[in-house]
Amino acid sequence: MSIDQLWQERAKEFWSVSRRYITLMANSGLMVAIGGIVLIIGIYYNSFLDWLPSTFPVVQVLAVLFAFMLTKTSVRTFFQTGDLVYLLPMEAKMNRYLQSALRYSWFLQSIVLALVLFLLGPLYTDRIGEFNQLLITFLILIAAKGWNVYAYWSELRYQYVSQQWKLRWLRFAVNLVFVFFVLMLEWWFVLAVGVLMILLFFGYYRPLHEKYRLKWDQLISLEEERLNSFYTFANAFVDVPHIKARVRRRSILSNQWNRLVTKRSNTYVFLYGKTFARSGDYFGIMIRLAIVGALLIYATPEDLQGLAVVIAILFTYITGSQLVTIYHHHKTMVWPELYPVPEQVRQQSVQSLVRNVMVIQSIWFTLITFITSWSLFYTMIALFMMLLMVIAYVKVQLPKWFKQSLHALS
Amino acid sequence: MTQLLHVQSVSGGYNPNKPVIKQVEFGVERGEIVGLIGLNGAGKSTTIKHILGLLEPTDGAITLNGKTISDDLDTYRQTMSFIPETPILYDELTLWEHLRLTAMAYDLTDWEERAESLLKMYRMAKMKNWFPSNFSKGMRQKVMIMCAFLVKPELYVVDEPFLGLDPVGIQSLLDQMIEMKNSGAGILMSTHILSTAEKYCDRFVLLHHGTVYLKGTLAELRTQANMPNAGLDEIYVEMTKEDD
Repeated sequence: MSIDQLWQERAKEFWSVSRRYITLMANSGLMVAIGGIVLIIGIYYNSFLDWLPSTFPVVQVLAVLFAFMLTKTSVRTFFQTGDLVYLLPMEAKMNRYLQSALRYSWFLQSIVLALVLFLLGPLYTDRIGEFNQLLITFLILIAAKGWNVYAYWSELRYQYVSQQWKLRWLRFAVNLVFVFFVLMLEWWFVLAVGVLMILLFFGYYRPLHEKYRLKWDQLISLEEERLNSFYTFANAFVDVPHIKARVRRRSILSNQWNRLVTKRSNTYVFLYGKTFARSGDYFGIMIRLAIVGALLIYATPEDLQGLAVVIAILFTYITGSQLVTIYHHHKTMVWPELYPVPEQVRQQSVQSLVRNVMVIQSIWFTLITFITSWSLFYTMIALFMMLLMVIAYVKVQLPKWFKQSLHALS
Repeated sequence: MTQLLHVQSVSGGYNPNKPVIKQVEFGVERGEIVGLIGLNGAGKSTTIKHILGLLEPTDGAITLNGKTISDDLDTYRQTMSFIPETPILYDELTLWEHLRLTAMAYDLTDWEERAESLLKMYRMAKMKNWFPSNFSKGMRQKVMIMCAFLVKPELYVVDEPFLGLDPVGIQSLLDQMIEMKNSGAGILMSTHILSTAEKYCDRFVLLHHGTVYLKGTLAELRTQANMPNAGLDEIYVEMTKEDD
């Protein structure tokens, strides 16, 4: 296979894997989620436009949004760890490969831009300009995206991430000014900034490719991160076996478990506590559920207070059922099998972690219920029901779940 | 007194019809280092997995202080620690937290001072709060070694510990193995570095195609192989020549 075909091969391979995941996701809730979001947007859009005060700085907000979207760019290189050995000698012949990567990234990110612009279309025609101008804006943004993809790709030639960030902020500034003029319909200024961008393209960004070589290590780890974020997203709907979440230190949270006494019964309290705090999957999901649940409770109409209680219980339950998979988090490790700690102690530690997190979530939702309704009655009902559910989940369902998963493993 | 580790004619592997190891029989006494020697695929790792209790023998039994793993699971595990060939670390824990977790699991008291001195010995004190993702292969191996020695068990099971270690690490490891041996611990070490094995091991078990080919002290091996004056490496090469 020639190097030029290699990129196509890899893209195809990636899409055949993704297609399978997307099908699985579609079958297990993604479609419902998307449908729900579209429905909510559809219902609220018009009233949102009516409600939005005429003094609201639409242009400024959209300028920041689009400048951000333009600046935040990625390039799918499909590089793999092994490429350090196999592709490194080919670096000089990689032009076509990389061009494909750039074109592909430009295309995909343009689709995202188009979707956002489509969503914001009604707002645009309501406050900014006519439909024709929206179309022109769309074409200009696509072109600007192309410029950004190339500029970003050039920035990656710098060895130090701090240098790259400096350039990224500059690029954001250029984008912001550019988009602002586009939205203000000041076409002459747009042209002026556009010329400046073209000059930067030829005068600054292109020479970088001559001057510096590819930073393979960085590109490979960027690619891994990107793949990971896709799988992490997919993992919210289906079980992705090989995803490895990024570990963050999160000192304030994770230090809480430093106070434990160093003794055998705390072994798994410590291990799972630190895992909960630092691994991307668990704490992040808890926070996201807390926010989404709170928003839904907040948005519940006053005459449907009962619904708010149901939402609170449901989201606390989901929090628990997502967190309990932490039990399998270290299953590829040999150590838990070798520790002289009874399996029962391990299960108890998972149970108490799940219980504590669920109780915290319950208290949070109780607070939100109280703030939105100011009804002590519903608040107390919500709290009581949630705690009842937590007890039932932890005491009844979890032991069954442990039994099942041990059975499934052996 | 019963033998510390006794592997009694153990057969086993991943498929009952195709055992990887056959009728393997050897022991480790208190206060000795036993070298487990064999080519790639000879069955060293499988033997070690059986000793660790990760695999169950189809035939035979393994006893620690006269007791099998089913007699008393937690005591069996408390009695030994393991240094794996490929370091296995928790991504979510810092170096110090690995040591602390070990101290918890093995219910160690007064472990902090020893942990600090281990960190100094392996020149890892500065990396105390680092995550494993920032460690090189050698550093990861050192974490495994420190955790094992922190436990101070009766039996050490060490699988090819030298790869990737720097000279300071190798020397500290060997010094510590001798110290532990002198204080009465037994060590089973699998390795390919025969010059080191010859120098430091008291006895050897030579595995070949899943069976014990030769075993004993170097002198005994020489008589068995009928090669007086030969070094361990010569015996090893001679032994594996057979099927070429």
